[in-house]
Amino acid sequence: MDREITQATAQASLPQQADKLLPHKPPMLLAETLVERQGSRAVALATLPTAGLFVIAGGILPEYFIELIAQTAALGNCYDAIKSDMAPRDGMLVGLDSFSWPGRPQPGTPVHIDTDVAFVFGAMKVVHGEVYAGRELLAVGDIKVWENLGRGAKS
Amino acid sequence: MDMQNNSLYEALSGCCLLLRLTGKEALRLEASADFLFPADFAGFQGHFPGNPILPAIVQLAAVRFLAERALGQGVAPTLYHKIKFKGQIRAEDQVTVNIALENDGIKWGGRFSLKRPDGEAVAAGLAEFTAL
Repeated sequence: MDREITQATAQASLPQQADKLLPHKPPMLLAETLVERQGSRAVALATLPTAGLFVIAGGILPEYFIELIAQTAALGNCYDAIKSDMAPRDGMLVGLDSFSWPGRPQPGTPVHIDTDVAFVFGAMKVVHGEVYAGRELLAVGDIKVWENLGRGAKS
Repeated sequence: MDMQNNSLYEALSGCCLLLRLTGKEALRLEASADFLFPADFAGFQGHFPGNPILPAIVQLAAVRFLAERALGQGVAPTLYHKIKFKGQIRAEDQVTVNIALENDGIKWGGRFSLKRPDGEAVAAGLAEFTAL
């Protein structure tokens, strides 16, 4: 029993690589590392791409940042699951209350993504997310995610 | 064709079957476009292995793609608002994107929707774009 707890704790230590937690694979794996998890808040790191799917005319596709926030929120949920020795729940992006881009993102820039759950109603969550390059706010929005509450127990 | 090295946005061009300009005035625009997403579409890569689903953000990129083509100029979104993603788009699915935008002198804004050929709504919401 003690060994199981120790293993679970070791697996749940931060930072966590995103590819160990999320079902996404490159090139759709955008978040890189979960670095903080406190309550419903999750913070992840990533580097804005310089080439590939999300780069066009030397800029970053604006929609990239929506997925970045969704993946950071999912990382937090997956982290909680492994910490509780549970299988991560399925989830998906089902809406945007609002999303905007106050900053000017530059390819290759390291960013941090800060998310927190603003509202929960059953299987639905509204997650507020912000993407920063240093102190510059690049993107901000409230996204709606759905979680399959019927799945989670490790079989 | 190595689609992974191309922009997702550029790859949308290869999925657009037909574009209809149903109304275009100085301050008003209505248009629709049919998209068919083949299994090798870049947007399915890694999302998810063995269970490809078109990411919701690609649906939004398709809306912007239509706005740009219909306006004949590049646009950047300034706001996405009250958007619902109601259904999943899988490989070989066809959807029609509809936009109805008005220009307030600064930006283009209005409603959009994505629907299947049988009329089932896949997504809908409000968007605002500024000209690049």
